[in-house]
Amino acid sequence: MTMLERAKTLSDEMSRLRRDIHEHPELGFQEFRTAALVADTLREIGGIAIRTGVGKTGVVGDLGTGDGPTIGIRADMDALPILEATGLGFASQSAGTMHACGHDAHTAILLGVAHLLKAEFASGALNGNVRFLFQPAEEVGGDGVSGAPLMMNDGAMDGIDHVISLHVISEIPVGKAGLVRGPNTAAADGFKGWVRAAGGHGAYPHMGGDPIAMTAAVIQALNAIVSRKIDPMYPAVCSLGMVQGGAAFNVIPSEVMLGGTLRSFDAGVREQLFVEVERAFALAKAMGGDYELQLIRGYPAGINDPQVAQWMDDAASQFLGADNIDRYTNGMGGEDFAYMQAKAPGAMIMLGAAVGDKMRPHHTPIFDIDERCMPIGAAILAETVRKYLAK
Amino acid sequence: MSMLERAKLLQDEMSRLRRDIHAHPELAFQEVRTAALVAETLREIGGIDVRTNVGITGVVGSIGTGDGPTIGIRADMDALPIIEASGVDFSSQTHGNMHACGHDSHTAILLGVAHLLKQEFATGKLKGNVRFIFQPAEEGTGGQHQSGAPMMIDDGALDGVDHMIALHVDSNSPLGKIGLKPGNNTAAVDSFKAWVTGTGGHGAYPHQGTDPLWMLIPIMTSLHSIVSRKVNPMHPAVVSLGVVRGGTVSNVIPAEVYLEGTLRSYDPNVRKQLLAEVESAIALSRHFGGDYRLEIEHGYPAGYNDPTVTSWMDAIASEYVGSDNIDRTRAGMGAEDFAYMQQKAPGTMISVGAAYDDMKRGHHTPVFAINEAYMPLGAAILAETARRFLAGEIQ
Repeated sequence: MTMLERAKTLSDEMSRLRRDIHEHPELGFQEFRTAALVADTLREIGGIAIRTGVGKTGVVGDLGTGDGPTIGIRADMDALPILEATGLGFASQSAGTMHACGHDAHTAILLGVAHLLKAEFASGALNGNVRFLFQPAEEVGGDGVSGAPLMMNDGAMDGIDHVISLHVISEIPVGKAGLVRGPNTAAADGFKGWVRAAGGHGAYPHMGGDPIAMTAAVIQALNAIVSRKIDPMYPAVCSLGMVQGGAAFNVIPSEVMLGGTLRSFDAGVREQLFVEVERAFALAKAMGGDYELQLIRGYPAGINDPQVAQWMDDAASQFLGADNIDRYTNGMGGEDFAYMQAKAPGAMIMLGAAVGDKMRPHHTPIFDIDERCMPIGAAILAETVRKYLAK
Repeated sequence: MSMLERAKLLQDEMSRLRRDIHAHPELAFQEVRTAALVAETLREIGGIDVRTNVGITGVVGSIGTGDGPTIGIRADMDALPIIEASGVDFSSQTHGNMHACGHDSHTAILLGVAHLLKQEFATGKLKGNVRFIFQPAEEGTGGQHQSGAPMMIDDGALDGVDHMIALHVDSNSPLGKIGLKPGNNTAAVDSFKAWVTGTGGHGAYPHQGTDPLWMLIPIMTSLHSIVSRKVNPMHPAVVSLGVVRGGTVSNVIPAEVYLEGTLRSYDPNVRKQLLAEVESAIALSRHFGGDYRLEIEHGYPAGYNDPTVTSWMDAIASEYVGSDNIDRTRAGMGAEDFAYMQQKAPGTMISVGAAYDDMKRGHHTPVFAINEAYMPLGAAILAETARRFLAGEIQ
C-alpha cells in the first residue's frame, strides 16, 4: 500500500479527532482540552515520548531511533474569536470561539501522521527521529509572543535538522496544493499612531490645530510609501486598517488614531517600512502638531528552503500529480511557522481543501473545509519524513 | 586556446572599432556611418553574407553551413542626445550626441564575435548558422513608428532564427561580474500624456471658473496610489510622473495642465491594469467639473530570459569568471527592445560589469564611461554559446 492508501484508512479517525477539536475550540494559549486530547492520542499510539506544557499549552512528541537526523512536523492548535455560522453538526459549542482557519484539521492530520510513522518505525526501515510539534497560539500576532517562539524558548526545536508543515486552504480545490520555493509568508508588522494638535471649535479652526487635516497628509504619505519609496522588485504592503478621531461634528478633536499593517519579504525592506511610516507621521510636526507612534514587530518572513520544498514537492507530486501543484503563487499573509523556518531549514505546503464551489474564506463565520484533504495532507507529510529517514 | 584567450587577442581590434564608433555617435535610425563601418568590417572578415538597410539602418550578417539550427546575436548601435563630459581621448566629435549607454562597445564586441566564429566555422566542426544582428534605434523610435528591434523583425531579420542572445554592458558593476537572471529581466514600458482642462480664470476669483491645477491634486494622489493600493504586491509595477506643466503667470488660473508619465510592469494583466487605473485617475477631473484628454503610447514588452538559453550562458560565464561572480537574481524596471526579439525566438540577454573607475558613471549621463577590458569577456561568452550550440554540445 502507498502512504496515501494507508492514510485513507485513517480518514475516519482523523475526521473524528478533527470534529472533536472543532466542536471544542480554544483560543491561543488556552488549548488545554485540545492539548490533552493530543497527548492522550499520542500515548494511545505508543512508543512516543511526550512533553506537555511546552510554550505554555504546546505538546511535543518524539519518535525515533535516537541516532540519525531529526525532522520536525508542526501543527497549530488554536481557534479564533469568531461566532460560528457554518451550521455543521459538529459546530463550536463555545459560542464566540471557532476553528475558522483549519487548525483543527492540522492537529488531526498530525495525529494521523504519528499513526503512519509509528508503523514505519516498527518496520525497522527508518534511521533517525521525528518530532511532532503541536503548537498553541498561531493567531495571536506580535513578535516573540506567539506559540512558535514560545515553544522554541522551551527547547522544542533543539536538535531539529529540518522542519515541515502544512496549511489547509479553503480556496484551493481538494487534490491541488501550493508549494513555493523561497519567500512563502510575509513579515507581518504593524503600527499604531496618534496625530495630535490643539483641536478646538469647528467654526474657529484658525485658533487651534487640526489633527484631522494633518491626518489627511499623513495618510497620503503612508499610501505613497510602497509606490514611491520601495524598490518595485520587492513586494511590500502598507495598509491602514483604522482611522479614528472625534466625537462631535462641530468640535475639532485633539487626536486622531491610525492603525495599520506592514508586510514584506526582504529584511531591508522591512526596516525601510518602519522608517518611512515614522517619516509620514512626522508630517504632523511640520504642520504644527505632534505625533506618537508605536511600531509593532510581528512574525518574520517565512522562507521555504528550496531543498526541503523539493522533498515535499516529490511526495505531493507522487500523490497528486506534478501538474496539480502551484509552485508560483504566494501572497502577503503572515505565519509564525516562519520562526521555526528561521531556526531549521523548512517548508510549508498549502493544501487544497475547498468545499464544493462555495466560498468559505479563512477567518469568516462560514469557514469550512472538505475533510478529504486530510489523508492527502497526512500522506504528504509522512512520506516526506519516511524518505528523509529511510536507511 | 580557450575562447576567452582567443577573444583577448582581439582586444586591440575591438577597442579600435569601439573608439571609432564612440567618436562618431549617431542617434536612432541615423546610424549611417556606424552601419557602413559594421558592413565593411564584416566584409573584411569574409565568408559572411551582409545585408544592409534592414530596419532602416540595421545590418544583418549571416554565416554558416546553411542547414542546421540558427542562432542570432544582437548588438545595438545607436547613441543618445547627451553632451559628452566623460573626459576620454576619443570623446564624441558630434557635439550633443554621445554613446552614453555602451552601444558602441556592444557593436565592437559583436564584430569581435564575428571574427571568432568565422575561425570556428573554418574548422568544419560546426553545423548550422549564426546571424549577426546590428540593430539601430534601441533608445527610441527616432520619429519612426517603432524602435529598431521590431523594425528589423518586420524586415525579416529574425526569420529562421531559433534562439537569440545578447549582452548589455553595466557601468555600475565591476569588471568580472555578470548579471544573468532566468525569467523576466526587463520591464514592459508604456507612457501616457494627459491634458486636464477647466475653464481657468482670474486667480482672485477662483469660484467663477474651474481650476485644473486644483484637480491635479487628487489626480496625482490617485496616480501615486495605483501601485500601493491597486496592484497585487507580488507583481512589480511602477507609475511615475515625469512632467507636470501648467500656467504662465501667478494671477491667472490656467485652462489646462499637462502631465506625462511612465508605466512599468512585467505581468501582461498588470500592464493592462495600469492603463485602466491611469485613466480612472485622470478622469477624476470630470468629478471636479473639468475634463481631460489622455494619450497612451505602448512601448517595449517585458523581456523574458529563456531558462534553457540562460543556463547555457550561465555555464560558460561560470567557467570564465567563476560561478560566485554571477548575480542570478537581479532585475529592475528598465526596458529593452531586445524583448521583441525574445518574443520571436527564445533567448537571453546578460549584463557584463565594466566599471571605469571609482567614480559613479551611470548610464545615460554625460560622464558615462566603461572599462574596455570587459569586451573580450563579453565576446567570448557570446561566441562560445554559439559555438557549443552549433557543435551540438548544448540543446
